[in-house]
Order: sequence, then C-alpha cells, then structure tokens
Amino acid sequence: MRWNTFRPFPANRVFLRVFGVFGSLLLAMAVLYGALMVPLQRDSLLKVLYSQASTVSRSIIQASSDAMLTDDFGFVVEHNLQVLQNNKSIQSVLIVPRRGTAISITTTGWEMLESDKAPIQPGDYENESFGIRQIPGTASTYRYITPIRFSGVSWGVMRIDFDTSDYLANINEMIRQIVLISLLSILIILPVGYFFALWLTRPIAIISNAASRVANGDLDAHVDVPRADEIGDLSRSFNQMVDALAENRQRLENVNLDLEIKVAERTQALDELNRTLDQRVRDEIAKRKEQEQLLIHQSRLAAMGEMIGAIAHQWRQPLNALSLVLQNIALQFEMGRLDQESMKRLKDKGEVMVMRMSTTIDDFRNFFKPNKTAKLFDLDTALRNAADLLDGLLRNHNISVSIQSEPGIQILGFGNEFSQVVLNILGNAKDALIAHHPAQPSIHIKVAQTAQHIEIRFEDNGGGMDETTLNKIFEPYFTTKEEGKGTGIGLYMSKMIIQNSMHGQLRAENIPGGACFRVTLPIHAAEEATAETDRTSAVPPAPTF
Amino acid sequence: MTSRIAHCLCRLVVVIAAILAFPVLAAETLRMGYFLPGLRNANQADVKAFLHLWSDEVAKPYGIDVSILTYDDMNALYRDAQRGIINMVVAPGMELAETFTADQLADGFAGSHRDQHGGIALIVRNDSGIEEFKDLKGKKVLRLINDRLGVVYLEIQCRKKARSSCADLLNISEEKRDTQSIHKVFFGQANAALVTQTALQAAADMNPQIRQRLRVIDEWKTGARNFGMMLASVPPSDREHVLSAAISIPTSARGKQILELFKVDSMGKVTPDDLNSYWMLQRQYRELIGSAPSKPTKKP
Repeated sequence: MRWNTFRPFPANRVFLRVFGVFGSLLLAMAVLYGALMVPLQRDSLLKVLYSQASTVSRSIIQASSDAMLTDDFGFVVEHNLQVLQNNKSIQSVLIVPRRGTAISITTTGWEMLESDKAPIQPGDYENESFGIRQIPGTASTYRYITPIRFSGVSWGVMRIDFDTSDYLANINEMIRQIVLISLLSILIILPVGYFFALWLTRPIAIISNAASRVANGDLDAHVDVPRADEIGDLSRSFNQMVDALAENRQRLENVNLDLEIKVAERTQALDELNRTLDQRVRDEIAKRKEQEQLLIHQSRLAAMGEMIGAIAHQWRQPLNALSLVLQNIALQFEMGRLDQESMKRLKDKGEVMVMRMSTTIDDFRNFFKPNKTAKLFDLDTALRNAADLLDGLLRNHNISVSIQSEPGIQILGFGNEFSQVVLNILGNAKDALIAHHPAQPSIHIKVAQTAQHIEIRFEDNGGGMDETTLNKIFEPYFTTKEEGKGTGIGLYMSKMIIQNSMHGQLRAENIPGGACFRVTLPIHAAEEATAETDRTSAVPPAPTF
Repeated sequence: MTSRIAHCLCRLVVVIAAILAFPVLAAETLRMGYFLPGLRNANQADVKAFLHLWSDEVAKPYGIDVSILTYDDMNALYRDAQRGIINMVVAPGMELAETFTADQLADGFAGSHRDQHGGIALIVRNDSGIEEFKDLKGKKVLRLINDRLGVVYLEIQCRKKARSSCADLLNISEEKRDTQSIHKVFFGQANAALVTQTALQAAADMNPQIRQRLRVIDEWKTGARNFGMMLASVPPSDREHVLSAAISIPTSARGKQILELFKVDSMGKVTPDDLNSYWMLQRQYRELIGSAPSKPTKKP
C-alpha cells in the first residue's frame, strides 16, 4: 500500500472527523471574529466621531469666542461656513446664544433664528450629549451638543451634526473586509486543513486498511509511509510486526506439520493399541477375577478360622461337662454303683451335651450361610445374635458389650452379610481392647434413627487409631496386627458390603479414649421392605459348613 | 468668498485653456505671465504649485512646452511682455485696462457664469435708511482688498454723486472676501459694502434672508472680470489655432472637469473690445480725479 496513492476525499471516518472539526472550528472562529470585531470597530468609530465632534466644537468655540462675545455674527457665519467647507463630514452647525439670534449653518446655506425658536432642549445648555440620531430627511446623523461657556458663564449651546455616511461606509467596509478576510481565511485555511487532515489521517487509514488485511490473514500487507515521525515509526513497527507474524505463522505451520506427523504416528499406535485393547481388557478382567478369587479365598479362610475359634469357645463348656459325665460313669462303675438308672441318666446328660454342641455347629452354619436374596431383617436381633456369637471370646477378656437399640427397626438387605460386618467390627474392637488394656474394656453399640437414615455406632475405649491407620483402615490387605493374626481384608469386605449391597456408608473416626465405626443405612430400605427384591450379593458368599 | 474664489479660479481656467490650446503653436512655447494678486484669497505658493501641476498634467500629454511666470506687480509683467519674455497675460480686467492699450493685446479667453454678469454692486441693509449713494456720507463702507476695480468704481461714485473724494466722504474698510463684507452689512457691523455680483448672488443663495434684508443701491455690470489675453505679437494663425482648441475644451471630459472644478459655466473667446468697459471706467476715473495721463498710467 503506497503513501502517494491519492484520493481527493478519502472515505475514512478519521479524515472526515478531523477535517470536519477543523472546518467547524475555523467557521466558528470566523463567525466569532466577525461577531466580536464589528461591535468593537463600531464603538471605536463612535469614539472617533465623538473625538472629532469634540475637537471641532472646541475649535469653533475657540476661534469664534471673541466674535460670540462681541456679537460679530458675520465672523461666526464666515468661520463656520469655512469649517463646513473644509470638513465635508459636518452637515450643520447650530449656535444658540441664551439670548438674541441663533445661527444655523449648513453645507448649502445658513439662516438666522430667534434663540427661543431654536431646536434646543433646556438641558442642552448644561450638559454635553451626543449620539447617532435619525433625523428626517437624512439617513442618519451623529449629533453632538455641547454647552458654550466663557469663564464659567453659560453663553449658549452649540449643536453639530455630522454626516454618518463615512461612518456607515466605514462600518460597511469593515464588515465587508471582515467577511472578506473570513472568507479568504477559510479559502486559504480550508485547503491547508484539508491537506493537514489528509497528511494526518491518510497514513492512519493506510495502516488501518493494512491491519484489516492482516486481520483477514493477509500477511503480505505492508505499508509504505516514508515519514520521519511517530507515524513513520508506527508504519515501520507495523511492517516489523507483520513480518514477525508471518515468521511465526511459518513456524506454527512447521510445528503443525510436525504435530500432524506425530498425530499420525500416535494414531497409528492408537489403532494398534485399540486392536489389542480387547485382549488387554480381557486379560485385566481375568487378572481382577483371579485377585478377587484370591481375596475371596483368603476371606473364606479368615472367616473359617474365626468360626472355628468361636465354635471352639462354644464347645469348651459342653466338652468339660461331657468329660465330667464320662468321669462320673467311670467312677460309678469302679464303685459298683453304675446301675441302669444311673447309666441312663448319665447317657441322657451326655446326649444333651452332644446335642448342644451340634446345635452350636448348626448355629454357625446358619450364620455364615450366604443369603441369596435381600430380605427384611430385624436390626436389634441381628446386632444381638452377632454379639452372642462373640460372647464367649469377649467375656474371656472381660470385655463388656452394651446394645442401645429398639426392637422393630427393619432393614432391607442381606442379614448374614450385615452380621459378618458386625462381627468384623466387634472383632477389631476386641483386638484393640486386648492390645490397649483399658481398665474397663467395653464396647457400646448405639442405634439412632433420623427421617432419612439409620446410624449404628460401634464405640470402644481401645485407644483409637493414628492418622495413617485411620486413612488406610478400609484398604485391602492393610493390618496393624502381628504376622499371622490379621489378613487386612475384614474391614475392606465390610465396607464393600455396606456400600454395594446395602447402599450405605461405613466410616471410622477417633473419639475420646477410643474409636468409633459408624454404619449409615438409608431409611427407605425399610420402607421399601414390603416388596422383597431379588438381589445378588455384591460380596462373595461367606464360607459354608 | 465663493464668488471671489470663483473669480480667481476663472483666471486659472483661462490659463489651463491656454495650456490645452497650445499644441497648435507648434514650435512656439507658451510663456504665460500670471498676475498673482488677482487670487486674493489664495496662498501664492499654492497657486504656483497648482499652475505647474496643471501645466504638467495638461500640457505634457500634448507634447508641448509651457512655462508660467507669476508677478506681483503689473509693471513688471508689462515690462516682460514688452521684452517678449511672455506672450500671454492673465490678470483682472481693470489691471489689464490700466496697464495695456487695446493695440497691445489680441484675442483671448474668459470664464463666465450663466445668468450672471461680472459686475459689482453696492449693498446696504433695508432698515439702514440709506436710499442713495450720498446717504453714505460718514458711513462705514467695505470693499475688497487689492481690488483695483473697487477703488476706481467707488472713487468715481464719490466724485460724481457726492462731489468729494471717498477718503473724505466715506469710512472705508477693506475685507479679504466679499462674503465677509456682505455678512457684516447683514449683521449691521457695516453700513454698506461693494461686492461682486457673483458673491452677492452666492450669498443670497446660501441664505435667502440676505435677499430680504439687503438691497443694492448702485451697481456696475460687465462681461467678465478676469481675462487671459494673448499679446498682439502672437501671429494671428497661431491665435486662431489656440482659440479653436480652447473653445473645444469644454467638450472634452477633462475640460468639463476643469469647468466644474472652478465653478465656471463656460469658457468663451474674448477680444480687446471686451475690455472697453474697463478702459472707459479707467478714463472716467482719471478725468474725475483731475489728472489725465496717457494710457497706461503705470508703465515702467
């Protein structure tokens, strides 16, 4: 884009605004100049008229003073005729003495008047007055009236009328000149303003157009403004900027090309990956299933161990009793007192013991038998049955268990799995209490019901957990117990049961002196309990016997 | 005042007419003798500058050479005329009549006013009680200064009508301008004044009250008061050429401008006969004062 590309009226708004403002200011200045100058010049001319009138009157009075005092009116007439002849601007002179004859002298003649008939106001004998008057028969007249005094004594009055044609001509000439000067100024300055605005705005328009081209993606747009000022600097900077943009765009294109190549390579790799993904997923799923199977197996072993321990505790008392029965049988036989009746009584007693042990096994089998469908179960009963299973173990360590619950709270879910959760929590609490040795080891189970939730709190005074343990307590294979005493999957399985099978939450927190496990179950489970729903347990089934 | 100035300007017009007419004089140079006291009211230096200005502006375009000599004394003017230093004279009629004889002068020009004659008038106030000239005895009478016609005319009247010299009969004062005399009579500061007819007419035009308050008790009429006369030594053919050229002056734009400027209505040819009234007045004057010297009385 060339600087010397000339258009007489460039259609850019900046030019029009600059030129418009320039022209408006010029016009305003011309009008203002005229509006100010005409009154000033008019006043000046009036002052000139006043000065002229004052001077002429003083001159006449001074020259005619002797004649006035001696009533030499011939001289007065002669002198004033000469004054009028020499001063073409004077229309008339009227000299009115207080008494006697007044003389009116004009350019065409003179006449004698009686003073009392002269057109003079009484105040004219005392005060000077002047101004432009409209006198019939003349266009306009500047009338100057001055008292005539000799030695402070009023002699009369003089009135001089001046022709204002020169004044009006001067005014008209002045207005004409002002208009002419204004027009000439406009004619001279407007082209100057035009070229100034053009000089000022054309490079801006050129740069603006080039910028628009650049904005539209044409990076070949350059400007040629050969000026040694800021606009020239701007144009050079613009060109540098465009060059830099072009260079950057080239770089970007190169980078894009590289990226496209890389994307193609990655796409190819991704296609390859996609082709093997199904196999990988299948592998991962298999691996996961294998891990789950391992976990289930470990869980089953752990449960089985716990169940065996519990059975052993349950069996200890009947086994002792059965042992005593057998000892009594042997003792009575040696003493010869084992008769049929004694034998029958001891056999019945022994069968009772055996039946009790058998019942214990059935109880454990039923307890760990996995549910196939979700059913309503009584929360209070479930809590107490679970506590009873561990009653022997807990009592052996002097751990007291209290349950604050209300009968009748129904939960929809898998009752045996829930009982497994309770057993895990109580087992953990038992281990903590055994390890911490509090003075009165205790476990408090509290049930609270709100409008939307049922919360079951398991609180112990086993000393609580450190921060690390608290953060990892529900992770699989995490345990703080000695090697061989804990698998690290009990609480993980418990959390899975509560979350996935019962849609609740299991959280752990420290409380003063111990820890608290909170199980939160949604209340709607109970409301929807009327319709039993077949659901598959989210956790692997408990070991069966 | 106006009439006096007009009277003087008439003489200027005569001069300028002569200058414009001079081309016909071919190789001759117009050497004009100008009697300055005829312009009583004007500064003589201004008059000289004025004459030279007009000779340059008017004569030069015609390609001729004009020289102007001014005189304060008619005797000196007459001597130069006799020596051939000048070949044309411009002066009031009374001075010409007292200085030159009819055979010494030839044709010339004079400016004139329409409906007016170049005479003089003796004016008084209507309420002055002066009915005729002899009533002026002991009265204050005004006349123009350096006006030979006024002196001659008034002396003749004194001697004819009161049989006394004016010095004995009248209290004569001289004024510079006719209008001064007229106004003084008007306002009662003088009893009578001898003024030109043109001045009286101009004053009456300026103030009609003058016509009501003043009246003429005696007058002397003549054609013109100022004359530009070529001397008899100028060849007749040249004089005719000058006359024809001079008469055509008013027809030109410049000529009209000159006439208007000097408030002269027309420019006419005059001969020495037009001075006869002056010569007659001059003879009468000499007879009355008792001396009869041969003309001219003031020859060098």
